[in-house]
Amino acid sequence: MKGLNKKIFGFVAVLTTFVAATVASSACYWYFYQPEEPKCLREE
Amino acid sequence: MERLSNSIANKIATELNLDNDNREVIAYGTFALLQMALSIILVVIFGWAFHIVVEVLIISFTTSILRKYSGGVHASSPGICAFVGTVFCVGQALLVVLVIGNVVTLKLVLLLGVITFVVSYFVVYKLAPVDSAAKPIKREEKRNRMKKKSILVLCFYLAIVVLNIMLYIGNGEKQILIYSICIYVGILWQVFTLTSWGQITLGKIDSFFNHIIIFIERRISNERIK
Repeated sequence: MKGLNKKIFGFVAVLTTFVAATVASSACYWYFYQPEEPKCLREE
Repeated sequence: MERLSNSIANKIATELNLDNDNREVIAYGTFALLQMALSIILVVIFGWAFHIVVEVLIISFTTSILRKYSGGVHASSPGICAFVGTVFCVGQALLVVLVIGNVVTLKLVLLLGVITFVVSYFVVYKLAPVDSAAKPIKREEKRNRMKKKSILVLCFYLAIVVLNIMLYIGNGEKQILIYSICIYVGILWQVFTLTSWGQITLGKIDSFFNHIIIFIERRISNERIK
């Protein structure tokens, strides 16, 4: 059960990281709200 | 929603022994997923209630995809964003179906198409990308890349409209013309949010809803004190 939990958490982590990276490469988030971007994703 | 995405990210980071940078990225991605899901669900529910699901989705996706590259004005909270986005998308779709739907002709679609694309290519070329304080775009290279991608998205929309017109000439289905008008409305709305007029208008709408939220919160806290 713990192994399955880890796999699910791993999948969610990969999915959300992919979404974050996709959003970071665009000019805007989605529609009218833009939360502050994490420092490690910012292009200085 | 921010609290929910932070607690999901905390749980994942603890379970997988991730550092703070990874936790922040997961929270940001989770928030993006939740915000997109909420916006789409609201638009579908209200679109379904008014029997205009396809029209609302066309306007919503046309605006959002162009917005990803051209940027634009922002709301101060995700709640106001979801509410204003839904009201505007559903309102615009209702206007298209009820007002233009009865008088739509091929000539009207061609005329509106020329106006829409001339205006939007010009505004996007001049103003895009419009960044925000939460996500500034400083590098000139990235600004140029975003501008090019915005123009490419407009070209993609133009191709879809041309395809729609060809389909209409082939089968005479009036609904296809209405879908094209929905694409125009989505583009024009997004282009409007790039201009200073759009920023002033949406800024006023945002502060109006902020005042309402503050008023409601005060009423609730006063009730609790009593």
